[in-house]
Amino acid sequence: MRYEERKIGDLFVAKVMESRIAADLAPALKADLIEFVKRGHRTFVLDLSEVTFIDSSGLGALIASLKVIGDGGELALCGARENVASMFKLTRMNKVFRMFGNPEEAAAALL
Amino acid sequence: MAILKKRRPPSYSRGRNLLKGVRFAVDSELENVSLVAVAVNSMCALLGLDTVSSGEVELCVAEAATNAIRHAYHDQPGQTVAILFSVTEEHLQIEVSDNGTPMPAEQERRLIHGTQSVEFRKGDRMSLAEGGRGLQIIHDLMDEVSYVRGDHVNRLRMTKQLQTSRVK
Repeated sequence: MRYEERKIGDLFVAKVMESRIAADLAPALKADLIEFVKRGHRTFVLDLSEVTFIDSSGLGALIASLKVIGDGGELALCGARENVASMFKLTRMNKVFRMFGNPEEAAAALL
Repeated sequence: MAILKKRRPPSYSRGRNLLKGVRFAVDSELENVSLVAVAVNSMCALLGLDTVSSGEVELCVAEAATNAIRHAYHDQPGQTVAILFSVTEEHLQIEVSDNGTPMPAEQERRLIHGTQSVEFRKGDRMSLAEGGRGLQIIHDLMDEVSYVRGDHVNRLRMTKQLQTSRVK
């Protein structure tokens, strides 16, 4: 999958540059997120502002990554569009992931 | 077997572009699911459904088609996932069918009746399920859902009631 990576202070931010996170891309997303964790990013932000669609498989990839991170870190999300945010509310995953409007808001809360 | 839930129906433009039935099919590969889902979303938009409702229908079609490929066909390509899309004045209906292994009874119950089971305990990430939400999503977003397993074909039928009042 394609990402735009940057840092805000010490906080790693990966912007997903795919419009759809569905079952065909979910395994790649999971592998990439786990790779970010292996690179030492125990707390990081996934920017979903370019994502227009996510299904339950995409959600599963995010959950798998959160479990790999464990209790010592955080996978925060930002920039979710209305229908993407609705998916998190529908599945109550908005109670699991910290969600912010943009990377700067996430950084202000996490740093 | 199906249940009807009370939800506020989405609006669409009365009598505009009613579709008696559009049938299309794709090969059983996950890469094709987005094609199907986007096509259905476009048809919904063409009918004048609001963006949120069109997105919900798209999501349900994606979940149903993914389920067919993963579980009915066990991720084997070369099989057919068929979609039948139809609209009346009162409702929109999408049928996703396959010729593979029928859905287990437990999954069918989750699809039709939903589940009240708590998926996670607050603060306990390890208790989070990574999968199994697709059928619940269909149950939650559609007004009526049925599943029929035939001798050679399984049909998952999803219905959304429409309110014929206004264009988006």
